[in-house]
This record gives sequence, structure tokens and C-alpha cells, in this order.
Amino acid sequence: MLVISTVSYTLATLAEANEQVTQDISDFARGSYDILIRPPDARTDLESNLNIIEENYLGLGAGGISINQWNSIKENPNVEIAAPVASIGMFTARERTFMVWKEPQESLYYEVDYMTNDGVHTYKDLNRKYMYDFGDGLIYPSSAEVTYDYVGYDIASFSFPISYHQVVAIDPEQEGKLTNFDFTPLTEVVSDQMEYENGQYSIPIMSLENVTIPVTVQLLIDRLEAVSDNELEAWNSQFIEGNPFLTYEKDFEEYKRIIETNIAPKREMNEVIYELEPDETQSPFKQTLLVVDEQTNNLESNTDPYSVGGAFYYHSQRIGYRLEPVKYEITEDDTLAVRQTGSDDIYGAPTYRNFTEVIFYELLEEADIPVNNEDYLGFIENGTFSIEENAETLASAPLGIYGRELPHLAYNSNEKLYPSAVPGSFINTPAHGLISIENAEKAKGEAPIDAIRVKVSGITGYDKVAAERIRSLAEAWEAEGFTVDIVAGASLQDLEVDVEGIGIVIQSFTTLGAADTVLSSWNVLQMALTVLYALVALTFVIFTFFNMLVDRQKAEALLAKLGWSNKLIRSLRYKEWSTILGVPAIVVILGFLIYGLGYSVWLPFYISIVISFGCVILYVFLDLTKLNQFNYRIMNKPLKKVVLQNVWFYKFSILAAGVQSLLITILTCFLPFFLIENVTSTTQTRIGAYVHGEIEGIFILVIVLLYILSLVTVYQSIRRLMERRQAEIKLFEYLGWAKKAIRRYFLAEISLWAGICSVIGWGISLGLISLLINLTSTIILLGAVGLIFILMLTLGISAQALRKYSRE
Amino acid sequence: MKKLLVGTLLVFGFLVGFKGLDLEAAEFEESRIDSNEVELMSAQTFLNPTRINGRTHTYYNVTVSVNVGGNAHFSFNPGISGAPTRSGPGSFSRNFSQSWTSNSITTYTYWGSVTTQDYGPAPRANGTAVISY
Repeated sequence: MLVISTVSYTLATLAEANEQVTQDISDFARGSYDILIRPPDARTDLESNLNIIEENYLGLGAGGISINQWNSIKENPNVEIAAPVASIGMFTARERTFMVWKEPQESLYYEVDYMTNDGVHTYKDLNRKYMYDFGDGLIYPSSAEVTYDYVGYDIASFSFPISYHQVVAIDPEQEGKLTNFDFTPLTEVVSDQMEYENGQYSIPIMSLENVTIPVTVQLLIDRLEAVSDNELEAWNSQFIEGNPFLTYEKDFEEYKRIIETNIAPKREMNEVIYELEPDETQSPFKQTLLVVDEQTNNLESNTDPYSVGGAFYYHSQRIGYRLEPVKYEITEDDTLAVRQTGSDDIYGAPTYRNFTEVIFYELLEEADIPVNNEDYLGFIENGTFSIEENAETLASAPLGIYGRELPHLAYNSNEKLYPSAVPGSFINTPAHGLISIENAEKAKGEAPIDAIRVKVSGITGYDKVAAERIRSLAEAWEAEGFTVDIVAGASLQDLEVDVEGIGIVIQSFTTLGAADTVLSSWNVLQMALTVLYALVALTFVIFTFFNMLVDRQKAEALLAKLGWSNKLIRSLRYKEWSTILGVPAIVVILGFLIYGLGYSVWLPFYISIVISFGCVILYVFLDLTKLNQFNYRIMNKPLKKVVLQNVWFYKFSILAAGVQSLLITILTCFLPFFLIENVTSTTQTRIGAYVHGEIEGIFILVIVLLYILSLVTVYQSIRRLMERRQAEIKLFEYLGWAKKAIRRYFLAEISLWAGICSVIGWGISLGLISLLINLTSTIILLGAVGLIFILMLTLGISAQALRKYSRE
Repeated sequence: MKKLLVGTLLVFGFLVGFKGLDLEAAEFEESRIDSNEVELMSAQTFLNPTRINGRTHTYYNVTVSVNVGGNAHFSFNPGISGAPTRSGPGSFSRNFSQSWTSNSITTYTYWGSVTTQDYGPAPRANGTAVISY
């Protein structure tokens, strides 16, 4: 009854779990698109070695797919969406200034420090910038660049620190379908008086909303004492030809000396310091001039041209940067490390990848206009976008350019990391600016597209039919030479990355084939549990039947002596067995029938019928093969040790307990590590964690049932052994053996066979672990602890059984 | 008789009416080609000076001005590669201080522009700086 009920229930539960896993995968594994098409050899080392890709991995790339190839894919009747991505490069927004008002005759000293940070470290601009403004155009700047930006008279203006942002080209129509976002601003005609030729040749760009512009400005303002004509004459006499600017160009050290010794003492040293940050409306490609709000310490955009001044540069986007992928070092234990490749000239901030400077068009010398107007590349911000990637989804296909999950320090999840203002961070940012794919060729040549995200038409879930259809399309494109990935079931996972100069960082990566991993892992676990359960149950049933048949032997021999015919004896035996097997089977089947009627769950009912039938066949097999008809034989050549002799003599009685000890050891020394390994690899992804959460209870239930069934067999076999040897125990007691001595005698015997079986079980476990997962010293040690535990448990059960029979 | 009178009146009526239409059309045409009036309606940018014969590393004051009053935004570009355009609000004019560098004799084309609140952007005005070492 125990076997039929537990085995039926367990197998039904495993089948139910299997259905749950398949359903979860079908429901959640399909993302917003199905197939990712990339140029040949597009896979990074990380992808090839670990099958993971970084967040926003499509924000980089040298192209390789032409507009014509994209059009051909888009026109395929099986394609619902074909959304291209072309990485254009990293650009700064329009170079512009922030300003503070002043009286034209006012004498003031300004000092500006720029800072950028990556969430952990702050880097200060290595060059100090200052301006001594004595009013009416009499100025002494720290450099020519400061003068270029300085409007002067009533406006003190200084450049707003530049920061670099990833720009990606998309097709507004296809991307709109993929993301349900309106990208039509990218198709509009734009104009701006602060742009070259009023924006006639410029490209509309949409900025990402709510992005940290990782720069802050420290502005120091101090009053200057008025300068007399005599003082001015004395200063000028020290400059080369009485010309400060010429001195600056020819002998910068001398210029600095004159400033420090003559002009700097004019400061009243009663300064006011402003810590300025861009206000919340600042997006990466915002282009308006900025004004200092002295109340809020913010740098605010001012769109009214009649109340703001400053400087701006037409050719800010003439130079961009193309980043190479981060070179991750993969250590022996598959952890990742990133090394610093250099440092930035302006801030001294570390860089972690190589990048190349790209000049998009040439300028005419001494005119500051493009050689060819058609080559001009400049952006005019025309709206913003905000797309949440991977939010609330288990297996969203990574759109590749919108990921906003920031890495964080391993020891403090609140310390988020983001790229500083300089190009070369180890973090792939989402696209901070989007332009239309129409402009990609201008910036990147004939084959600008880095990837096409394809959604297959006419599919509603990720089932077998859908998977087949997706696979056949993918194979067709693969045959054309593209790198093709089926992304259904892709899911995020967090990994530790050792970043030089920062420490251990938790970073999000995406696996493209999470659904397959979850399914295959589940299949392996299901198989392991089923095999173990079947072995335990079979041992239990065979042992029980065997003992019952052996017990019948004596009774049947007596009946035969009394003159019963073999036919009559067999008839009586079958009648008895009909009751022994039939009653529990009927009770269990009826129980599952009621359960099925109540909860409409019929699988346990069907399985219980099959198991009952299987038990009958097993009995018939044992009965017909006469395996139970053996006799205990006195050994011809006794062994030297009594313990060994006893073990050999009772070998058939202890066989079942031995096998169960072996199985329990495997259960203890192999299954936990196997489960941990599988669960760890599965739960790395969000869909895996979800699916595991759904079936976790079933796992625990099955393992508990396994232990119960195994321990019951061990207890029954030992109890039976003790029952058989009850006369022996009594004899020892008559002979005056102390209870302790009797216990020691029997436990030594049990220790021997249980020890041998457990050690064999441990050995099998270690062998399986080294075959299926990685054998480590920790596993060996913990396995040994498990082995001792099982042995102690067996001895405990034996002592209990012994106590029972020594009392009777 | 009555018929003749009515007919004569109709003919003369048409003649007078058509003559009047011709006159109106001529007047309309005349108003479209009044270019002097158009000139007076738009703003003009002025630069002072429009030519600088100067020395390297020396500051010169350039004034960008406009011929109409009201709020205006003045811009000045020195024509130096890599140098930004500077701008600021004002009324009628704005001064910009600028220096140019040269190792020999170099000609720079600088320009100024104005956008006024009432008349919108005015055409640029160009100037030439010939800078010697």
C-alpha cells in the first residue's frame, strides 16, 4: 500500500511538474522578437565561450548588413517585424556654455572645476580654468579656449563639460512596431538657428529620458580690486611686447608667473562657491544654452534667446568614437575580470576598452565650414524616448539598446555604477540618442546595420510548432551567411565581474537560450529523481515479497507433510496473496478515484492501476522463478572472524537493507550537489528562477518521500534480521552476556555490511559527480559527512530494533 | 425704345464695370512690387569694423548691430577653426572682443548675425580680418 500510493503519487507529481515547466516555457519564453540576425562572425569571445551577452550589446558594432539586405528580410512573408540597429558611435551633445550675469564694469574672478564620476569614484578635470575679468573687456584667462567661450562684458560664460553618449540608428516604423513607441519625430524636418546653416543639413535625434549626465561643475566667484593705470602699465611691461595673449602662446610658464605674482593678489579672497549640477530636464543631446540658477545650484536650460548668452559650436559632432567590445578575461572558475586599458587625458579617469576616433567630415581651413555641406553630420534634438527593457518579464528578448539595469558593487547593491563622461567605460550604456536608419549610411558607409531583430508572423506562444517554424527561418538566413540566433527564452542573469580599480561588480548579462537550458536541466533532474525513486521502490517491493514468500515456505512444507496437495497449497497461497496485494491496491486505487473525482486529477489514479498491476507481475515472476526457495547453509570453511561469518551467512537477509543503505548514501552524497548545480545554473536566469520557484515544492516532496521509503526498507530489513536472530539474542542473554556486549556484537556486524554498502554508495556518488558536474574537495568532504550520517542512522535504527527484540 | 434704352444701359454698365476691374488689378500689381517698402520691414545686421588689418594675439573689439529696436540676440563667429560662435542678448548692438593668431599673413572671415523678437533673423554680415605676425 505504501509503495503503490507513494510511487503513484510521486510519479503523478513529477508528471504534473513536467507539464508546469512546459507550460511556463510556452507562456513566458517568447519575447518581443524571435530571431536575431547579425553579420558573419559577429559573436564576441564572451558569447562564444560562456553563451552570454552583455546588456546593450547591439549598441556597438562595425556594421556588415546593407539596407538592401534588410529590405529583403523585411519583405519575407513570414516576417512580421524586421527592426534594424546600426551603432553610429559615441558623440557629445552640442558644445555649449553656461553663464552668469555680471555688470559690464564689475571686476570679478571666476574659477571653474569640472568633475565626472562613475558612481564610485569622482574624477576632477586635470586643467584648472580661470578668468580674471576687470571689466570692459580687460580679461586674463587661463587658456585660449576659455577666451573662446567667454562672451564677456555683462556675461561670464564657460563651457559646459562634454560627455559622450551612444547614438544608434533605427527604423522609426519597424522599431515603433517592436516597442510600441512613436518614433516619428525622427522623420520630421528640423531647424535651429544655433546649428550650421540653421539645421539645413542636420539630423533629428531623440534623446533618452532620465539619464544621468555624469558631470558636475564647481564655480568659484571672487571680487577683484580695481586696477589702476599704473598697475596695468606695470603688468603689461612684463608681458612679451606688452601682449598677454602673445606671452601665453610663446611662454606659458612666464604668463602663469605674471598672473600668480601680479594679478592673482587682486583677489579679495571672499569667494562664493557654487556646486552646480545639470537640472533634471537635461537629456544627453539637449542643445540650449545654460544659465546658473544661484538659488538651486542647478544649470538650467534657457530657451528664450533674448535672455541668455553664451557660446556654441556647430561642429560638435564632427568627431565621434567607436568603441570596441570589452575584453573580458574568463578565469578558470568561469568568473569574469576586466582590466584597465588606459586613462583619459582630461580627467585621468580609467578606460577599460579600446576605441577609435572617427572624423565624419573635413573642415575648410580658416573658415570653419565643411568642405562639402552634404557630408555635414550634426544632431538637433527633436523629442525624447523612454523604453523599459526587460521590465517585469521573465524572458524578454534583449532589444539590445534599451537596457537600463546598472551594475552595482558586490558588497553594496545601492552603489550603482554608470559610465563617466569619458568614452571607454566597461559598461555598455543604452542608446542615449536615436536617429533614423536613413542617416546610417552617411555615418557608416554601405553596410551600416549591426543587427536585425525579427519577429516571426502568426505565432502566439513558444510551443513546439512555433519553435520549429522559428528554427526553419533561422536556418534559411544562416545559410545566407548571417550569424543567426533564436532568442526566444533569453533571460537576464547577474554575474560577478572583477573590475580593475573598482572591485567586484554585479553586472547583468543575457543568455540567449535560457528556455532550452531550463528544459534540459529539468529533464535531467526528472530523470535522476525517477531512476532513484524506481530503484528505492523496487528494492522495497522485492524485499517485502521475498520475505513474505520465504515465510510461506515453512508453512507450505508443513501443509505438504499433512497431506495437502500442491494444487491446494498453491490455491491457498494465491488466495492469501490476492488479499495481501489486492486489498491495499483496491484501497489506494479507490482513494485516488475519490481524489480524482474531487479535484479532477486523474493521473495518480491511472498510475496506481499500473503500479498495482506491476506488483502482481513482480509477484508472479518471483513465485515462478522460485528465487525464494533457498536454504541457509552452514559454511564448509568458516571464516576467521565471527562477524564476517555472520554477515556471509545472513547475506540474503541483509541484501535489501544493504542496497537501500547504498541508495540512501547516493541520495545524500550525490543528489544534493547535483540538485544545487542544476538549480544554480537554472536560476541564474529570470525564467529559470520563476520555473524553479513553481516546482520547488515538488522537489522537496519527492526527496522527503524518497528518504521515507528508503529508511522504512532499512528499518524493516534490520527488524526482520533481528526477528530471525531473536533466539540467538536470547541465547547470549542466557549465557550471561551483558546487553552492552550483545549490542556491540550485533552493531559490529551491521557496521561492517552497512559501512561497505555506504562506502560503495559514496564512491558511486563521487563518480557520478565527477562525470556530471565538477568534483571538488568540498564535495568530497561534505559527501564523507553524509556517509557518516547515513552510517550512524543505520546503526541507530539497528540499536532500536535490537532493543525491541532483546526485550521480548 | 424701352428695349434700346435698357440695352444701352447694360452695355455701358459692363464697360464701366470692366474698366473699374482693370484699375483695381493694376493697383494690386503695383503694391506687390514695392521693394522699398519690403526693405523697410526687415532687420539688417551691421558689423563694425568689417575689415581688420591687425596683428597676431591682439584683441580687437567687433560690434554687431541691428537697424531696428526691441529685443535682439546677437551672434559673432570669428571664423577660426574650432572656435565657437558667441552670442548674447541686447538692444541695437553688442560688442565682442576677439583675437586671431597667425604665423604669417592670414585672412579670416568673421561674421555677425542678429535675430530680433519683432522681425526674426536678419541676414548675416561678413567681415575680413587680415592678421599678420
